[in-house]
Amino acid sequence: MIEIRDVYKSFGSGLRPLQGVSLDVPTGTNVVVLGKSGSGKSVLLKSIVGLLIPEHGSITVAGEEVVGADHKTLQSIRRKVGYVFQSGALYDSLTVGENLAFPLEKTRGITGSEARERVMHYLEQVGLPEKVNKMPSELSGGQRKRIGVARTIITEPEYLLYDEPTTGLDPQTTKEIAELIVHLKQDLKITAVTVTHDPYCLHIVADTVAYLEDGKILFNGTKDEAHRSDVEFLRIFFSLQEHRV
Amino acid sequence: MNHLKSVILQFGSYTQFIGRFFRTILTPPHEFRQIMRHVDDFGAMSLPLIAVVNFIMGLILAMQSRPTMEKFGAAAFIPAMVTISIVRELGPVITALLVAGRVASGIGAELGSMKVTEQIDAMECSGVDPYNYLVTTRVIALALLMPIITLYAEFVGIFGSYVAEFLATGVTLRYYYGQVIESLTFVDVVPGLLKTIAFGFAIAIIGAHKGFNTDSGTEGVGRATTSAVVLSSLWIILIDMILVKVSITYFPNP
Repeated sequence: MIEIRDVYKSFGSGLRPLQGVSLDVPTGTNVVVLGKSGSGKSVLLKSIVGLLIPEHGSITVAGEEVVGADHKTLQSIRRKVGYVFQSGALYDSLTVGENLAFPLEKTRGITGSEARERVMHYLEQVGLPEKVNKMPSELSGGQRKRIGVARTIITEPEYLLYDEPTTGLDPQTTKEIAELIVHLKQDLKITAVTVTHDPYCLHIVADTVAYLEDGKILFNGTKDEAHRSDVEFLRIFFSLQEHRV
Repeated sequence: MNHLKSVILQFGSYTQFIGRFFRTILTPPHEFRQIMRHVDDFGAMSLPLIAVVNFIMGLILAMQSRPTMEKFGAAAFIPAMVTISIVRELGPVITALLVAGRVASGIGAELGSMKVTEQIDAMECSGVDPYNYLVTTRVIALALLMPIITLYAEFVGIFGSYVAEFLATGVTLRYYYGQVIESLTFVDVVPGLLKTIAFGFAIAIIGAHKGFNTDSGTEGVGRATTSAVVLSSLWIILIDMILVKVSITYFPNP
């Protein structure tokens, strides 16, 4: 379970994206976080994994405190949490296979034939085993995202944070990525937080929905409750969904 | 006032960045394979340019010196004069400036691109220390490589001066290098090579710091690349000035 309590985060530029955010992510669920652009959704994800340090509040992942954690504790938390970046964030200088093998070798000490087998297994999971020797620059946007997912799940994390996994993709690839997220949750029992602007992605992957505005969670409930909510952003969002789904 | 604040903040940021280098260098994992890869890359990146520039520099130095030296009846001292100029000062500094242009910009651009495309964040999330993997390895590689490529640059520069002298007087290579070796002492060679370790350290640290602190997308990458070259070139001259004073104090001329 991920527990976020009264988290504040601001930047030197005067930006204050989180001003008392509290949210629970129960084990085995996928919580979709909605919010306007620049509302602090990605800041929230980065705070969960310790990439950004909140000034105040508490974030616990499987009982371990992230805020104020020392290097060793952060390493332990990061072994449990995978982060899927918006762009895939693949290492440009490594092939797809090397990208997947990198966290295995560096953090789990798995090399050689065992690493190769795992790389192929997870490339098959995302439907791209033939890309093993390609460079990231040779992949399309959707393929980069899928390889990004494969690189994240290869270390078998218990939690996954998806930062806009379907943004900028065509409808077919959006469907494939959304189904992959559902498949990972069902088959690998992964607890997830998904930040998205995509109504279709929300429709497919969300167990519950949280809405972030003015640095606070203004709504937290099921998809049906979100649908009936009188929060303006949610009304617009779900009316778009009805048009598109 | 804002400018002063920015200078103080930059100084603090560099101090922290350098401090982190000395902390990570002592703690495992030590990425030896990555260090060797960078030695290979930086060497391949810089050697052709260094060879051409140092050859021409040696050639010009000998050609420029000849008329004046002849005027004073000291043409026989041309090999010694050119050699000492190259080994003590010109070789290390010109090589470092060329490496700054090639390698500091390369490090700044590569790490800057990794920063803006979240590759550094991805590495950190996967539990790998990006500073150790990306910065420490590059700094060690360049600090190790600099004395080697400087030695190579000096050899090529002296060969350039021989070519000029051969064209002017027909002197043999054996005689010329005999004169070169005779003119050199420990005090000429070793301090010159040791200071290149400091140059390599400064070039890589500045390039990496600029890359690691890149923001504002591709525009920021361009800025990081340019300022990495400008700042590292400036620091090479400053470090040289300090180390020349130190070497004169601790290694006086015999």
